[in-house]
Amino acid sequence: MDNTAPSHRERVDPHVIGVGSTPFGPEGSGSFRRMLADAVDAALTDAGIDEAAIDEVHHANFAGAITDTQNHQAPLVADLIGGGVPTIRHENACASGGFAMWSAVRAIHSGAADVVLVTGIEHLSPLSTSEVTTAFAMAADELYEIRNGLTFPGAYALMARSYISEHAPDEYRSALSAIAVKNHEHASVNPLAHFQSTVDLQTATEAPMIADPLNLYDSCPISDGAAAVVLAAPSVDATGERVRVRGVGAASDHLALQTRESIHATAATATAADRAFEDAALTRDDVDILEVHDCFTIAEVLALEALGFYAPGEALEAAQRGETTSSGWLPTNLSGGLKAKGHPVGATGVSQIAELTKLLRGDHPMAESLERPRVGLAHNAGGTVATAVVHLLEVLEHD
Amino acid sequence: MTEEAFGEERLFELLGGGQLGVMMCIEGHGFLPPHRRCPHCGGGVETVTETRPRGEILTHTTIAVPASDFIGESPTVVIIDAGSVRVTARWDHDAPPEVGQRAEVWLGQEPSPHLRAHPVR
Repeated sequence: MDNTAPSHRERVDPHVIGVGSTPFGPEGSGSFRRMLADAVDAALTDAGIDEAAIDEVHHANFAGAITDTQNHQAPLVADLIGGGVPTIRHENACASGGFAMWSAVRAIHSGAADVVLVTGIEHLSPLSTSEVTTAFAMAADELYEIRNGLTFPGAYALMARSYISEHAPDEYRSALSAIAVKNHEHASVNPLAHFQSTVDLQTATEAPMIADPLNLYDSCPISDGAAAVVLAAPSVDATGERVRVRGVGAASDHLALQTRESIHATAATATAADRAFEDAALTRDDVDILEVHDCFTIAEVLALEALGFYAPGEALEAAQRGETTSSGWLPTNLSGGLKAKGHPVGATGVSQIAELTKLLRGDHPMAESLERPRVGLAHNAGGTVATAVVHLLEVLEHD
Repeated sequence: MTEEAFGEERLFELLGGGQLGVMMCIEGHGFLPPHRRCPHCGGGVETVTETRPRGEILTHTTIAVPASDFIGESPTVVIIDAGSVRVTARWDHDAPPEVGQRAEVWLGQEPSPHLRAHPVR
C-alpha cells in the first residue's frame, strides 16, 4: 500500500509561515484555554496573516479528559479564530502533535486547504505525580503491560536494559547522563524551556532511580505548555519569514513491546524516516540539525540509531564523545528537547516544528552556535514508539 | 471455539491451568490474542498451541514511581522469551530478576487477570 503523499515533484510543499509557543513549565502560563489562545496569537502574529484565511484546524492533545474534563477540544481552537472551519483533534499519545502536523501538511499537499492552523496542548499541573504516571501509562498496552504495573518510564527502562544487554556499553550510566547534561545546557538558554539551568554529570548520574536503569535526570519533566504552527501553500501572501516542509513520513508498530521484532530498536521510527527522506528526495547527509523525541535519555539514543544517523549500538558512545552537542557534527535537540525543554504531550510535536523553524530562520537563541543550517529533521514518537512521524524542514532560498 | 475467536479470556483460562495458549499463523509465527491475522506477516491463524509458559528473561525493571493503582508498591516487570512468543509479566519473587534467568509465567487475578512470573531452575 502506498501511504505517502503525492511525490515531491507532483505537488507544492507547504511553508511554515508562523510559529508560537507558551513557555513550558510545571505550572504553565495560565489556564488550559489561556495557554491555547496565547500560542495561537503568537503564531498568527509571527505569520502576519489574518485568521480569516485559515481553512482547517488540526489540534493535538492526549489527556484533556483527565486533566480538564474536556474532550472535543477542536471546536475551542476553531472558536479562537472565528469558528466554522473544519477542525479535528488528533490523539496518538506523545506523537499527537507530530501527527496533527502530518495531517495538516497532507491537507495542503492534496490541495484541500491553502492555510492550516496546527495546535497542541497539555495541561498536566492539575494532576499529582501518580495521576500523571497513570495517565501517561495509558499510552501502553492495557492488557499486556499496564495491568502488570508498567509505567511510561518503566517501559523505556525495559527498552534501555534490552539495549544495554545487546550492545553492552561499559559506561552506559555516564553516557546516558551526558545526554541529560547536553540537553539541559541547550535548554538553559531557551526562554521557553521548562529547565532554565544546567546540570553537572555527577548530579545527573547519581539522581534517584525512577525505573531502573533510568533515573530522575534520564526522564523528561512533567510540563504544561501549548504550541501552534501556521502552514500555508507557497502561493499564500503573508509577511512572516518562511521555512519549507520538504518531506514527511509516518509509520506504526505493535503497541506492546513484547510483540515487536526488537524490544529496543524502534522500527516505526526507521520506517517513518525512510518515507520522509524518500518523500523529500533528501539523504541523511543533507540534515544539519535535529529535534528528536527524547522523553528519556535512552530515547534519544534509540531515535538517532533508528533514524539512520548511527549504526545500532553506536549512538550512546557518540553522545559521550559530544557528537550531538551544538558544536558536534550532528547537533541534536538544541531546544533542550523533551528532556529539558519539557514534554507537554500534545504540544510536543508542534513545539518541535516551532523550535526547528526558528533555528532554520536564525531567530532562535541557539542559532548563533550554528553555521547557517539548511535542513532540519523533527522526530516525534507515540508511547514506546508504536507511532512515529518525521518531518524534514528546509530553509527557503530566496531568488 | 475457532482459532480466530481465541481471546484473552481463554488465554487466562489456559494459564490458570498452567498452559500458555499461543496463536500460530501459517508461516509459523507465534502471538498472543486477540488477533484475526498474524501481527508479524499478516498471515491467517492456523492453530492455537498450548505450551509450558517458561523461558529466559530478556529485560526487566523495578518501578520506583508507580501509577495510582500501585501506590506503596515498587512493581518489577519482566519480558520473557517463551519460545514462539515473548510475554510481559509482573515479577513475583523476593530476589530481583536477572537477564538470562529462567522464569515461569502464571496467572494473577487481582485486581484483574494479568500475567505474573517467578524464577524456575
